[in-house]
Amino acid sequence: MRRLAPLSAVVFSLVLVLAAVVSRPRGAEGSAAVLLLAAHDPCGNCHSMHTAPGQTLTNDAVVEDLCLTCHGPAGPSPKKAEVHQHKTGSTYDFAMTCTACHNPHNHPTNWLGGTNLRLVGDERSAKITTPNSGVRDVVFESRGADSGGAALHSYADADQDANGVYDGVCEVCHTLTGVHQNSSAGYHRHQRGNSCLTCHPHVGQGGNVGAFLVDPTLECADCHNRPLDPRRAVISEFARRSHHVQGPVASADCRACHIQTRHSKGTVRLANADDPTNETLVVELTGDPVAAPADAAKLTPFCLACHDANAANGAPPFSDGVTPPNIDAGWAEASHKTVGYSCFGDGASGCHATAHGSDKQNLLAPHGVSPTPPANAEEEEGFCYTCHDGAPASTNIQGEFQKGANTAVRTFHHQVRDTEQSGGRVVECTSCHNPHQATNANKVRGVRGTDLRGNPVGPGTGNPRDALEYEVCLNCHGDTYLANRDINADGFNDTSNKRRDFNDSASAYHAVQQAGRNRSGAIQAALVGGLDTLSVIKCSDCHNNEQTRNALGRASNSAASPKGPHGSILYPILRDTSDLRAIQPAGQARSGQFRLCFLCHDKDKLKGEKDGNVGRDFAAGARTNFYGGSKDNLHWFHLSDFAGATCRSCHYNTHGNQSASNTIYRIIDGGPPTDYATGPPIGYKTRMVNFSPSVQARTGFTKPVFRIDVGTRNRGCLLVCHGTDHDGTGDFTYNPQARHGQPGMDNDPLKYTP
Amino acid sequence: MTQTESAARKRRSPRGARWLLQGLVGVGLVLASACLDEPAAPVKPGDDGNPGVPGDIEPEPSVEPDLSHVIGGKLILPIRLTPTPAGRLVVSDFYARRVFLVDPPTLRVLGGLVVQGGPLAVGLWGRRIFVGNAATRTVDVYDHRGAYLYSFGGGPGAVGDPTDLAIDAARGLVFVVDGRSRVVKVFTVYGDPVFQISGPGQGAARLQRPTGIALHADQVFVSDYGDLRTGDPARIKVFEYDGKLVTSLSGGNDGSKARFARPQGLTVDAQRRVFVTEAMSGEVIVLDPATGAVIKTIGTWGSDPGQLRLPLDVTLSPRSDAIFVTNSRNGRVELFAGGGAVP
Repeated sequence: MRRLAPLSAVVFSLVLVLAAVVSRPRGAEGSAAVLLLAAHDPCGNCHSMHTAPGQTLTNDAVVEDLCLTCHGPAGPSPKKAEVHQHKTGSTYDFAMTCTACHNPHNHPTNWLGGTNLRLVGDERSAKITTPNSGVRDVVFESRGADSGGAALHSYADADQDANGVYDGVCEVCHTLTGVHQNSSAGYHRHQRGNSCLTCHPHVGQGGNVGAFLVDPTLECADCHNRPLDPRRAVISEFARRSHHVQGPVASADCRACHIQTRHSKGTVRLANADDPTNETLVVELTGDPVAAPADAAKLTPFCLACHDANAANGAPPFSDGVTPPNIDAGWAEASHKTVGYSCFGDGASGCHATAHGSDKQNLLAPHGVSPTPPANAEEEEGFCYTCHDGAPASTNIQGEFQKGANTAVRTFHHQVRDTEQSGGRVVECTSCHNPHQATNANKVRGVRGTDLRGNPVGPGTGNPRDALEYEVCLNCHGDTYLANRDINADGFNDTSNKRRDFNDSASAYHAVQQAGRNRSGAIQAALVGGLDTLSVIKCSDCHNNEQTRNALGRASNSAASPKGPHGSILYPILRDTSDLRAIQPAGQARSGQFRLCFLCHDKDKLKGEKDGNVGRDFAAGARTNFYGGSKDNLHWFHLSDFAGATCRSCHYNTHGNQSASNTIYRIIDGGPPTDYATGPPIGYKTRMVNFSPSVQARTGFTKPVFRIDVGTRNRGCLLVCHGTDHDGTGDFTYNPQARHGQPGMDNDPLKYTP
Repeated sequence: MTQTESAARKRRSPRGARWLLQGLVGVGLVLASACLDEPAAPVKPGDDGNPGVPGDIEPEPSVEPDLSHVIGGKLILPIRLTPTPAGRLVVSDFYARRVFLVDPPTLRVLGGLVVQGGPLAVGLWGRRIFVGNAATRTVDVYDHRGAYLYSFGGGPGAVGDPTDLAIDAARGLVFVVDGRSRVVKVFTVYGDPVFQISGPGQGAARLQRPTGIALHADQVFVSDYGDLRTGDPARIKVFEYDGKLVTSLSGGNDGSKARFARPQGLTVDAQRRVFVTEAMSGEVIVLDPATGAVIKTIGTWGSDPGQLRLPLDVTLSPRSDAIFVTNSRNGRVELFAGGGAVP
C-alpha cells in the first residue's frame, strides 16, 4: 500500500523547485517560465519522497500511467493523451513514453535559443531521443500560419527556415512515413507548416493505439477547405453553380464517396455506395480522371452505384436526402457509352470533371471554368458542341442550330441559344435528348413525353415505356403551345395544339400517332417513298434538316446528315418548302412553293402529268379524290397557274384540321345541313380540309364553308377565293366517283366510327 | 429528438414525482444561479410551460441489452462499466470506439455498438443505453439493440467532457459529470436540462476535478481529484440532490489527508459503503460511509491477474459478492471474486 504523504510532498516539492532553479537550462536566464507549470503544481501531484514507486520518485511505477490519470480519456485535464507507439504493422517497434517528448515541468528552450511550446523537449536542451534517428534537437515555437503564428518551426516544417535541419517536433521521428519523410529526397508536402495534431491527436483510436490516426472530431472541411499539396481545395467547390449535396456539406457526405481506410496515402479512394465496406469494390485513382482515360473508366461503376435504381443501397447517399437520378437504367445501351465514353473526362472524353461542383451546369467539364458571355448563356449546347460540331462526333449539330435567323414568328431552328430564349420559352439539348440513354436507333430514349391524352410518359412516370418522338414534341407543342408565344404576328405563322391536331379520334390528321383516315385507292396511289395508307410517320419526316429533301418519303430515307428537327434553312424547320402564302396571282404559283408535300404525295398523281404532257383526267394519270365537275382533276386545276393556290390554301394546318379557325364544316347526313364552325365533327372524314386565312367567306357566311353530303358523296365549297365566288353549285361541287366512275376513286367511306 | 421520443414524452403521467422534481429544480436553480462560477446550463421549459419542470417521466420497463448482432471486437482501453438487468456488463472503450457487452463469468465480449467519437460514461435506463461521448461532447442514446436514438447535452456551454454518468431510474434523471466545466449536470432521460449540482471554485462543497459519479438513496457521490494548490485534496464528495454537501470522504482517519490522489469511477453498496477506483495506485478502495476511513483495498498495481493499471471504474455484481473493475491500461475488465464482501 502506498500512501501519499502531504507533508513530505511539500518538503520534497521545495527540494525539486530548488533543484530546478539551480539547474536552469541554458538560454533560460531571465525567463519567468523556469518554475513548475501551474497546472502541474505542486510537486506532490506527481512525486512522493518516501513512498513513490516510480523512478524519479513519481507516484506511479510507469510514468505514462501517472500522466494518464489526468490526461487519459477519463482524466480531468482537457489535454487528452495516450502513449505514443508504433502503428500496427510498422517497420519500427517503439513506444514513446510521455516524457520522451515532454518535459512535465517547463517549456524548455530549444537549440535556436527560443522557447518550445507545450512542454516539448528535454529539460536541458530540448532534445528528443527518437526511435530511428538518434537524439534530435527539436524546435517547436509556432503552430504555423493557420493558427496565426509564423509558418516556421511547426510540428513539421520541412526545413522552411532553410537551416538544413528538419527539426519540427514530429518530423524528427517521422522520417519514413508514407506522407511525410524527413528527407530532402522524401515526400514531405503533406500539410507542411500546419499542425500535425489538427488531424492526429495524441489520443489514438481503434486497434492502433497512438498517433497517426485521425481525430474523430475533425471534419473533412477542417482540412480540405484549403489546398493540401497535392490536393486542391475541394470544399469550396460545393458552392459552385452545380454540385452534389444540396445544403451544407457534412463529413458524412464526404465519406459517402471517399473511403477513409487509407486516407492521406496519396491516392483518391472511392467506396461503392451499395457496399461501402467492400474493399474489392473500392476505386483507387492513381491519376487525374479528367486527363487519364484509364482512371476515368474506373469511375463509371462508382458513379452508377448511386445513380441506379436503389441509390446508395436503398437510401439517398447524402445528408440532403436527395435521391440520385437513375443513370444506370439506360446507360448500357446508350450511344455515349457504346462509343467508349466515361462519366469523367475533359468534356470531350467524358462529360463530368468533378463530383464536387462545377461552374457549369450538371457538374459538366471543365468544372473550374466559368463560361463567359455569350458562352455562358449558351452553356449547355455549347458544351454539347464540344463534340457535336462535326468532330469527334460525325455530325455537325451546331451548324444546324445556326441555320436561319429566328424571329418572333419564324423558326428556322429550335432556340437552344439562351440569347434566343425569352419570355420563358426555353429549349435545350436535353429537352429532347437524354445523353445517358439516347441511342442511334432512338435518339429521344430516356426523355419524358406527353401522350395524346395529355398524360406523361417515359422514365419516372406512371407510363414508363420509351416515349415516342411525337410525344417528346408534344411536351412543348401540345397543350402549352401558346405559352409565351407570339402568334400570327405577320398573318401567316399560325400555330395550333398538336396534341389536338393528331388526336386519334379526330376527323383528319397526318398519320403521326396511327394510320390516317383516308385509305382510299386514290391516296394509296399517290403516296411515294415507300409509304402507304397504313404508314405511320414522325414529326421529323416533315421537320428536319433541309438536306434530307434529297429522298422521297421518310426523312430516314435520306443519306444526308445530321437528321432531326434541330434547324433548317426553311422555316419552320422543314425538309422542303411549304409556302404559307396561300393565294398568288394567277400564273405565279409554282410547285416549288410546296415541295414538302411532294416528298410523300406524288405530284404527278395530283397534277396528272404523264410522259411530259400535262393532263387533268384519269387517263392522263391523275389519281386524286378532288375530282369532278367540268374541270376533272381539281388538284391540278387549283395548283396550276389557273388558280394560283397552294396546298395550304385548302389544307392550311397540315398536322390536322381539328383547330380549323377559318372553316365551317357543313354536314348533310340524311337530314338538314348542320354547320360546325369550330372544327370538323368527329365521325366524318373531312380530308384535312381547313382553309387558309386568306380564303374568304361568301356573303352571308362568317367563314368559308366545306360541305359534305354523305348520302350523295357530293362535296363542295362555298367561299370566295382570288375574287372567284364559289357558290357550292355546279363547278364548285365535286364527286370523284360520279365524275369518273372508276373503282378506287374515293371509294373510302365518308364516315368512320370514332 | 425522434418521433418515438416525442410520443414517449406525451405519455408521461401528469403526477407522480413531479412535486419532488419541482422542489429539486427550484433549489437547484437557486444554487446554480447563486453559487456557480459559470452560468447555469439553459433550462428548457416543461410541457406545461413552467420553466424547469420537464414533466414526470413515465417509467420504461428495463430491457436487457442485446448487442450481439452489431459487432464484436476486443477491449483496448475500457473506461466505465455498468451492470445490466441480467447481470452482464456494459463497458465503454474509448480507443475501440465501442460500447461492449461483456459476459461476467468469462469476461468475454458478447458484442458491442460502434460509437462515432470517444465513448466514456455509460448508463442504462429502460431499453436505452446512454453513452457520454467525449468527441461530440454529448450524451448519445441508443436502444437496447444498439440503434442510435438521439443525443443531448450538445452545444456551447453544455456537456464539455461527459466523463461519467449515473441514472436515477425511478425519476428518469441522468446525472452527468462534466469534467470540463467541473459540474454535475442533470438531465431528464429525454435530454431536458433540469438542474446542476455544485460547480468549480474553492471550498468543500465545490468541485475541483470531478471524474466519477454514483447515486445512492437520493444522494450523489462524486469523486474529485481536488487541487493541492488550494489545499483541497482528493475527496469523495456526497451531495443531496439540492446541492447540499453531506460529507467528504478522504480515506484518511483525520479527514485532512487523502488516502487516494486520483479517485475515478465509484459505486455504493446497499450499506452505503463506497467502492472507488484509485487510478494512480492501481487499486479499489472501500470507504466507510460514516467515517470515511478505508475499510479495505482490492487489487494492486501491475499487469498480472488481479493487478490493476489505471483502473477507472468499479461495479458490484448484482448476483454475488464479486466486483468488476475496468483495468484500463491492461486492456481488460478485472473480476475480483469476493471483492464486494466487506468484513
